[in-house]
Amino acid sequence: MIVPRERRLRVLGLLLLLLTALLTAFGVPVTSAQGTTLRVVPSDGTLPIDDPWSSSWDAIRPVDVTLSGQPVAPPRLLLPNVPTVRARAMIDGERFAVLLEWTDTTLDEDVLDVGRFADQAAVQFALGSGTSVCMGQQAGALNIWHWKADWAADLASWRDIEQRFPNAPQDEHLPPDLAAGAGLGPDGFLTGRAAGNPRSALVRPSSVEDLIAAGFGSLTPEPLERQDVAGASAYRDGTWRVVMSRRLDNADPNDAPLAAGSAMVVAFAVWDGAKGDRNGMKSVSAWLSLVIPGREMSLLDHWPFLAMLLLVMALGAWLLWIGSRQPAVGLGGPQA
Amino acid sequence: MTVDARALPALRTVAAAPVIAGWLLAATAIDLLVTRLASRMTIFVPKDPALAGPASAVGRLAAFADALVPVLAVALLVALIAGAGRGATSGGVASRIGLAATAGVAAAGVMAIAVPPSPWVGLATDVLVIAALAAFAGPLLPRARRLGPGGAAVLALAGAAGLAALARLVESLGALPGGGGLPFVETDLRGAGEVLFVLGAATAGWAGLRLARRVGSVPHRAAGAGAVVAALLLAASALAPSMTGMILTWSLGLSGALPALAYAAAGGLAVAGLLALANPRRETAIGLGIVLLAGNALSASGLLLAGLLGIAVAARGVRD
Repeated sequence: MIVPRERRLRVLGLLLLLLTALLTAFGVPVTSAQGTTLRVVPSDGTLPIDDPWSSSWDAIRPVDVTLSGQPVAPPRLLLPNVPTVRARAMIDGERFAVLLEWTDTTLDEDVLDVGRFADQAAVQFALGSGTSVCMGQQAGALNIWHWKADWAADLASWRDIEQRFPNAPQDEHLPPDLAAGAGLGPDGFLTGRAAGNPRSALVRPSSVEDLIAAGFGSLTPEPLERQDVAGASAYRDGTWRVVMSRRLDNADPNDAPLAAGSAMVVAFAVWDGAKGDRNGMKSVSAWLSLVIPGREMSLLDHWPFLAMLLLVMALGAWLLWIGSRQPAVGLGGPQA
Repeated sequence: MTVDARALPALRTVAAAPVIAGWLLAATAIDLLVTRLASRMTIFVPKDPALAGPASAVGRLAAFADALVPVLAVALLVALIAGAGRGATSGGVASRIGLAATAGVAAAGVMAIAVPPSPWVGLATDVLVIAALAAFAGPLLPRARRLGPGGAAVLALAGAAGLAALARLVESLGALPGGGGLPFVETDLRGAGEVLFVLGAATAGWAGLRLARRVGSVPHRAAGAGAVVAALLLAASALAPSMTGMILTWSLGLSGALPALAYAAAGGLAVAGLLALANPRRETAIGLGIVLLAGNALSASGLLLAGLLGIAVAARGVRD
């Protein structure tokens, strides 16, 4: 019995649809993405975690990451104030470090005034697969490293409202006699500091805040004893360079599992204080892959991939050889 | 002297490239509208109980459309390979080399699901992509003037895909040991590729409109659809520039570096021209449509494969 060509094609189409439905239903992935990848480079010597302008950083080829505005959650930033950020990452036996570099015509590290905002940068690591790039979700939290220019300036030289307005009356501290009586100390009126707000803290462990988030409105700093991300930054000729670093895998479930031979997804955000960026008003990237090498791999280490590639190409060549012995059917296909 | 053997029945069964190419065009369009537009738009929708259900349904449909593109692309690849016999319509040795390289790209895409792509894997994949593009579109170059705007469109779109692959290749080379000293040219390559992609879209539209006028007149529906698409793109860019820019970047790989008018004009011309081209040069219209719907320099392996096959189909359509 000869089956008409149209019917054969219809059956083929239905089979392909069924195959797709089965693949989708059972969650079998059929696509991959060779997207932007930040490959972590093993350090030849000392990891330059305190020197953002070290020549060791310049020796690494950067990845330029395009940023967009943040139009999802208020306060929104519709157009990015920082269009790209350049990223590099290094590792040694003990620590992981990431360097962010971006152009900014103004140095903004003073927030001791209403309406002044600091330059900032952040790296977020997905703690699970399939989490949202927008502050994560309950099914997949994020670990965020948030560097702030004002915190970096505070570490170098602590400044407070007295430096900004030296002649202002001192009405934010309790008078010494009242403070002693109230048992609150001299900072009794400084509610943020009394409540343990990290932004109000008199002593900062680092210019980088170590945070976790699992959805909008859930951003939470890790406890002081687990604030283990170091920061170093320098502004030169209209360019910020910020290094954020941490010891490798520290067994904290809320911290990014940075280990040799691992891979995860990361995203970046940058704030330009002079343009009013703060909170959700930031320039953000999409996810990109972060690959930490286990050991240096050569071409031969990829033998399963190469074997599969050669097999498929050989099969393709064999089919083509068979095809070359047939009458040409071209695009039109043979008539049934 | 050789004599053609009688075609194997099995090959006759699967040699249905034009039909499967049409299916792939439809699947790529669904992928663009559902996976890359509708499901991403749901990100901006509040997930209260009334909307969570529809948003989840869109997500499931998007996952299906995302899987349909590579499945149909592999089917088309098999059909093209099986139909690549001897003779004028086979495309010659270059086309066969291109198909073998495309098979390698398909295998690399599947392998990359299981094995995290290393610089070596990326390098091998992009060498194959560039080889396939050169094999499909290269033979058109010497006859480019005679082939007219249709040939120019295929060459421009192949060039755009080639520059995107070259940018990834340079990135992979830079990540190899000792590759840190390479000059940073990826952004320039991607920018040039985007210009070629937009030019290719406009030229494809021009080719369709010119051919339609030669054989009769431009169908009103095609002209109307093109005008609507151009107006929608312009209005979206004017009223919601950031949202439009984000969607264009995510869904079509267009950075927004060119004026909105350029994207709108190219989009409108492409829609009108390809609809007008559908009757007189069906294969060319389908091939160019797949390439444009698959987007510029997107990294999903299914779309990369679909784009390559679109170039192969369009090149054969233009040549034949």
